[in-house]
Amino acid sequence: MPLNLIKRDTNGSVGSIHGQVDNFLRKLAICKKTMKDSNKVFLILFSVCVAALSSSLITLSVYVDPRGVFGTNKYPVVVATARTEKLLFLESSNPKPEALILGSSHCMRFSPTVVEEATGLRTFNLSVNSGKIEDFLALVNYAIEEVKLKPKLIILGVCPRTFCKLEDEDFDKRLISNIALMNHLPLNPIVWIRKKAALYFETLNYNYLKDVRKSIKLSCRQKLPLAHYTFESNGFLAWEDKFNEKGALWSGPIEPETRISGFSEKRKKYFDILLDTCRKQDISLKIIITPYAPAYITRMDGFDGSFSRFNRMLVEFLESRNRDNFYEIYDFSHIEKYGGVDEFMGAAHPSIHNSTLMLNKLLAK
Amino acid sequence: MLFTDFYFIFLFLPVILLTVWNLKSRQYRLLILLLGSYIFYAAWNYKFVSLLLFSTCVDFFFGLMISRNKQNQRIKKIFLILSVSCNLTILGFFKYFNFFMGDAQAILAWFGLELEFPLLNVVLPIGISFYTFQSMSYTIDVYRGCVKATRNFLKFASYVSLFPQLVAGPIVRYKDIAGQLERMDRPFSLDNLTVGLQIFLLGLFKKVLIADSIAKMITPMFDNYLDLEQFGAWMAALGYAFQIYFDFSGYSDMAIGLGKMFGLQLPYNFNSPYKASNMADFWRRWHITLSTWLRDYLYIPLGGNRVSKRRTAFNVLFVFALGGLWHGAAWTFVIWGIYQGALVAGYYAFRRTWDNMPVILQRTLTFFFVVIGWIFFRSDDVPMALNLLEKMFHLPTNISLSSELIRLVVWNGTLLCVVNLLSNTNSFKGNRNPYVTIIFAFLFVLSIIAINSLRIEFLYYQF
Repeated sequence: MPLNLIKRDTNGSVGSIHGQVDNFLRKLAICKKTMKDSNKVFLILFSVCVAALSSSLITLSVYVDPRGVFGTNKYPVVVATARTEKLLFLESSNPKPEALILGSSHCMRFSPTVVEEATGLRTFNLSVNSGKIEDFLALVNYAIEEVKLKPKLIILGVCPRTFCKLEDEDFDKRLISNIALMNHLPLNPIVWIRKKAALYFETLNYNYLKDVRKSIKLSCRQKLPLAHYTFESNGFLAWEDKFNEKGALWSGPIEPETRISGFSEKRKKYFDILLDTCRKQDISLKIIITPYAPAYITRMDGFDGSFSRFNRMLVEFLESRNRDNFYEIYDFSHIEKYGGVDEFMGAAHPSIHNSTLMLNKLLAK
Repeated sequence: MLFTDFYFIFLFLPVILLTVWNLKSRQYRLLILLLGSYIFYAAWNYKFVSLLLFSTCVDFFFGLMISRNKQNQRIKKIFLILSVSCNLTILGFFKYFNFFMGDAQAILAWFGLELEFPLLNVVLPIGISFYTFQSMSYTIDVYRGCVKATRNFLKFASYVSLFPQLVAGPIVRYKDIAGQLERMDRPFSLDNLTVGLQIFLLGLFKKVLIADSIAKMITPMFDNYLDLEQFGAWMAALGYAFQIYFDFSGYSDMAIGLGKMFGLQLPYNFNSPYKASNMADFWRRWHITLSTWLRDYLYIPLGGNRVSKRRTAFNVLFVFALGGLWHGAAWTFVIWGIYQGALVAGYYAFRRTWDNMPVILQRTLTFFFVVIGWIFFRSDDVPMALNLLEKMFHLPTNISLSSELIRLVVWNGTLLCVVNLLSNTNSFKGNRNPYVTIIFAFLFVLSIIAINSLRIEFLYYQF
C-alpha cells in the first residue's frame, strides 16, 4: 500500500523531481568548479604577487646598493665595512699600489707609508676585520682581476685563527655579503649559489631597506660614496684606543667559542691557491705571524697551553708549504721576537708604534 | 626547525606536501608524514629523536596491553600506571629534576644541612610536555574504553609526532584524529590547501608582524626592569599580554593551517580569550586543548565539582598549580598557576555577584587579572615579579614618555581594540577575493622581511 502511494506520487511528478535533482547536481558541479577555480586563482595570484613584490624590493636594494655590496655604484654607500670601504679606496687609488698589506684587524695599523719609505713601492693596507685566508685570497684576486693591480710585494699577517676550522669560525658575514669579493673565491657551485641566493634574500630586511631609503636621501645632498670614512685613503687605520684595557679576551672566563680546535683543510687549500697566484704573478711574499699581548699569552697558556701549541702548528704549517723558500716567514707571535712593546688594544691589536716596529724589523731584512 | 624558518616554508613544507599528495596509498602517506615529522624534530636536535620514538613505543605497547586485558581490571590498571609512570618519569627527569633537586638542596640548607645534589646538564627536549601529554591521553583513553587501541604503529607514531603540532600543540586527542589518519588516502583537496595556507599565513602574520614587533619593544624593558617607572611597567605588562597571545595563537593557527593542508582538522586552541567575562570563561578560551586535557584527565578524576565546595576549590587550585608547573620548572609558573586557580575558584564562590555586574566591567576586570598574572609568567624569578608588581601598584609618579614608550602605547591601544573587536581566526573559513589575495601576498612579503630582520623564537617552544 505505501509503495503504491509512492508510485502514484512519483508517477505524478517524476519529471519535475528528476529535473530538480539534475538542477541541484548541476548547481553543485558549478559551485565545485567555481570553488576549484577560485582556489586556483588565489594560489596563482598569491604566488605572482609575492614574486613580484619581493623581486621589486630586491631589485631596488641591489640598484641602490646602500652598503656597497653589489658594486652598482648608483647611490652613496651609507653603511660600510672595512671590506666595502677599502675596495672603494683601492678602486679610486691613483697611481695604483704596488705593494699590499693583508691581514685581519691585527694588521690595520701597519702603516703603508713605512713600507713605501723602505721599499719605494706605493702601498695599500687591505687588512679587514676578522680577515681569514679566504678573505685574503678573494682580496688578492679582486685586486689583480678587477682593479688590474700588478703587486710586487704582499705583506701577509696571519695568526692561528686565519686557518681555523670552519666549525670554529665560518666565512665572515661581511665577506659573504660582499658579492664583489665572493665572485673571486673558488667555491663549489652549489655553495656559491646558496650563499649568493642568501645574499639577495637578505636584502629583504628592515635595516637594509632603511639603508636604501637613507642612501636615496643622501644622494640628494652629497655625491661622495661615503658619509664618513674609518680608514685613510691608503687603507691605514690611524685611530687608537687606550692600550691594554679593553678586549673580550682580556678578562673574565675564557669562552669555548674564543678558542680554536685546529686548522681547516679547506683554508689550507686556499693558502695554496694564494701561493700559486703569487708565484704566477711573481709577487714577493712576506708572512708575519702577528703578536698577542703578553698578558693574554700567559692567560691562554696557563689555561690549556693552546696559544703556544697552535702557534707552533702554524709555524710548522707555513714551513711545510715553503720548501722552495718562496716566501719569508717572520714569527712575531711574542713581542720579544721583534723587540716590540706591550702596547695592545684588546688582546691582539698592536698599537701603531708596535706595528711599525714589526714592519721595520721585517723590512730591514 | 621553526615554522618561520625559510627552509621550512620554502623547502621542507612544499616537499612534504608534494610527496604526500603524490602518493596514493594511506600507509605511504603516513610514512612520509612520519619521516617528515622526525626530520622536523631532528633539525632541532637529532639526539632527542630517540626519546620521542621511545615515548611512542612505550604508549603504543601499553595501549595494546591495556586493550588485550580489558576484562581484567587489575592488570589493565597496572599497565596504565606503568605507562603514566614512564611518561611522567621522562618528563620529570628532563624538565623537573634540577628544579626539585635545587629546591630540596635549598630546603635542607635552611635546616642547616649543606648537601650537594647532582644536577643534570641537559637541554630540555622541545615539545616534551606536549607530546608526553598527548601520548599519555591515548593510554588513558584506551583504559577508559573511549578509544580502541591501534595495532597500526605507523598511524600511532604519526599521531604522536605529527609535525604541525609536535612541539607546541595543540594537544590532540587520539580519538579526534584517528579517523582522519585512517582516511589519509582521501584525494587531494585544493580547497583544503587554500584555506590551510590562508590560516597558516594569518598565524605567521600574528607571530612575526605583531608578537615579534612587540617583543622587540618590551624585551629590553623586562631586561632592565629595575629602571622601569610605573607607567612603563604597566605598558610592558600589557605588551606582554599581547605578545604571548599573538605568539601562541599565531603558532596554533600555523599548526591548524598546516594540518588543513594535509587534510587534517586539528582542534582550536584559542577563542578570543581577552573577550572573556570571567576567569573560568578565560580558561575556556585560552590554550583550550591544555585546559580540556587538565579537566578531563585530572580535574574530573579528582572529583571535579561533584564534591564539597571546599574540595572543589582545592581541586581547582591543585589542577591549576600543576598546570602552572607544566609550563616550566620554576616557582613563578607555580605561583602563576595558583593565582589562576584562586581566581577561578573565587569566581565560582562569588559567581552570582560577579555575573550581576555589567558585562563591560566583567570583561575589564578579567583582562586586568589576566595581565597581572602574566607578570609572574614573564618574570625570571619571584623577586623580579614582586618588584614589577610593586612598581605597577605604587602611588602614581610623573610619566616620562620616551618615543619607544609612545610607540608601545600606540601598539597596545591598537591591539586592545583588535582583540576586543575582531573575530577569532576560528571563524575564518577562507577568502578568495582577489583584493584579499593581494593583501595576503603583501603581508607575506612583510613577514619575510620581519623574519630576516627580527630574532624569531616561539615562547611556547620552551614548554
